[in-house]
Amino acid sequence: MSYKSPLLLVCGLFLVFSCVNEKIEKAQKSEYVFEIPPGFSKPYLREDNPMSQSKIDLGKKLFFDPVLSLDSSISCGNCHRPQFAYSDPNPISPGVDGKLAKRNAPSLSNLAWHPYFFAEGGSPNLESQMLGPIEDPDEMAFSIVKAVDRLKKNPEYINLFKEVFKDSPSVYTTTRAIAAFERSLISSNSRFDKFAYQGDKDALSPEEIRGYQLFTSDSLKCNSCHSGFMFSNFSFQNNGIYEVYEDPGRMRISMDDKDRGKFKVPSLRNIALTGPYMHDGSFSNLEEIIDHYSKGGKKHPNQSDKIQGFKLSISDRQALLKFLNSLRDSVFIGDEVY
Amino acid sequence: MKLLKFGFLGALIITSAMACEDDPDPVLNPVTEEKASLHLNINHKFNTDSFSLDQDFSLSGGEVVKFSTAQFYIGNFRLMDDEQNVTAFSDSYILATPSIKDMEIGEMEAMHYHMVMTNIGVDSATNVGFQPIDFADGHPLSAQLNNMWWSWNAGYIFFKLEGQIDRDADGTYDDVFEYHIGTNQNILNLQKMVHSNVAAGEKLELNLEVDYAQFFNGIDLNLELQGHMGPIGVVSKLKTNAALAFSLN
Repeated sequence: MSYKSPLLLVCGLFLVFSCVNEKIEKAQKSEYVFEIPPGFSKPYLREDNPMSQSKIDLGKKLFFDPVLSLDSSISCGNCHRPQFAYSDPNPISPGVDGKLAKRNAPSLSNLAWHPYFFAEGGSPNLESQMLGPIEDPDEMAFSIVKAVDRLKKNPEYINLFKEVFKDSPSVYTTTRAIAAFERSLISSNSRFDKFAYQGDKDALSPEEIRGYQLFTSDSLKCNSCHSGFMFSNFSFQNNGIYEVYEDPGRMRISMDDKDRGKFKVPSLRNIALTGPYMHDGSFSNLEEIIDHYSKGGKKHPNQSDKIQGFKLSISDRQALLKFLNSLRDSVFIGDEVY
Repeated sequence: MKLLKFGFLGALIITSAMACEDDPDPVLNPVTEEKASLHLNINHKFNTDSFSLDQDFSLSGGEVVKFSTAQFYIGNFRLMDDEQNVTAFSDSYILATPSIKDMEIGEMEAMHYHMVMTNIGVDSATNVGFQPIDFADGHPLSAQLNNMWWSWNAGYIFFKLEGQIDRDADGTYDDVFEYHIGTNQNILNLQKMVHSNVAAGEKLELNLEVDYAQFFNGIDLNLELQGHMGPIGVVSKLKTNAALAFSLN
């Protein structure tokens, strides 16, 4: 009899400690500190959608769950693949029933620093942006209302939403969870970041530094649009890849012919991984892009006057490509968190 | 210990007293027990016929149209008295479909009213500042099954008309039409002089007539079958036609 009491005591202590540990673990899960990387500005965050680790986890689960598409065949992650910095190697991603979307899927890093979304800039925040692909008949071809109805019938999601929001799945909570996950996709560890913002002057080779100097030079002026830590000023530009544009671009919103063929300047972070390029995925590699800009564009009436053409020696061209490759963040694409 | 307890009790009494300081004096500011209310009746019609979805209607040019969707936002109701003081009914948007024939808008003070104002569409502050994801599920401005926003762009669809057209009335539909009208410049303001004393417990009745036939005035049904946003092309015609289609009586 005498051995039972110490055993009970041990079991009791074990139970107490497991409960304490569980509570600590839960508390740690709910904490999320949005750390602004060196050299980055203040992000666009929403007061009505505070970040927590458990919300990010739920958003991640939803992001990779095909339940949000009409026939449960396609998730957000089908067209935004982590190993390609959340872009798609297809020029145009296939949607439900193999239908083709209208544009090349953009990379999803550092979305917390984007002032607006979609190539014509019509969506003001991540929470509402996701309604686009979910409801586009050529993408996920579903209704957010019906998608949420599915989640409401799923016991696992019911529990997760209850844990995170103390509420059931709804359009409000679903969009906030996915947006929280998307805001957590931060890429700030390229060799260029280490060189420019983290004080490691040996992070770039002399050739890469020369490539950066060319990128910002008066003759190339790449940084007149691809500027700042995001390598984008988020302006809308016609970069002269066509004489006639099928896609109206920004004109779709402004109804102004002067905006025809203008698209949001994309970030160049992880550019070596995010091809094919341009709004329609029509350029398959970086060499083609350099060729295009060096020739000065196809002179569409709305073409940006910054595109004037330039000449590059073979070694300068190589240096420019090396620099662009230094924007690759292996931590971001290899991070097991994602 | 006793001193602590009394101290706590004292603090509680003082806090409670201070919390009541701003409450209205029930003697000086009597609360109106009974209020009046604003009520909206909607008469959906096609020329002189009663309107419904999935029913054939003939146009003056001989074409036959059948609607699969006909819905619009009405809201931002305001009442003005003779001194131009405005009573606004906040959060009063309705997503009207042909099955909605009447609706309680809200309560107001029993008094004399000079004018009532409303709009077809969503007011610019709401249209620019909010998206469906900002509203709780079930709210008229939240995400809808038959959606009333452009998911690729900010802003609500003010009225949405979709259906089929049989150009030669031979019983076979030849094409589809799809009109989604919105953006701030396309809001339609409606107002009506009421000049009424509305007593406590009484309803002020508003009658909205929607004549769906008017939307097709001057529309080329061979070419102008798609209209989105605004203000160019067919959308500007639809904006003009909306002013004829909606009337407040």
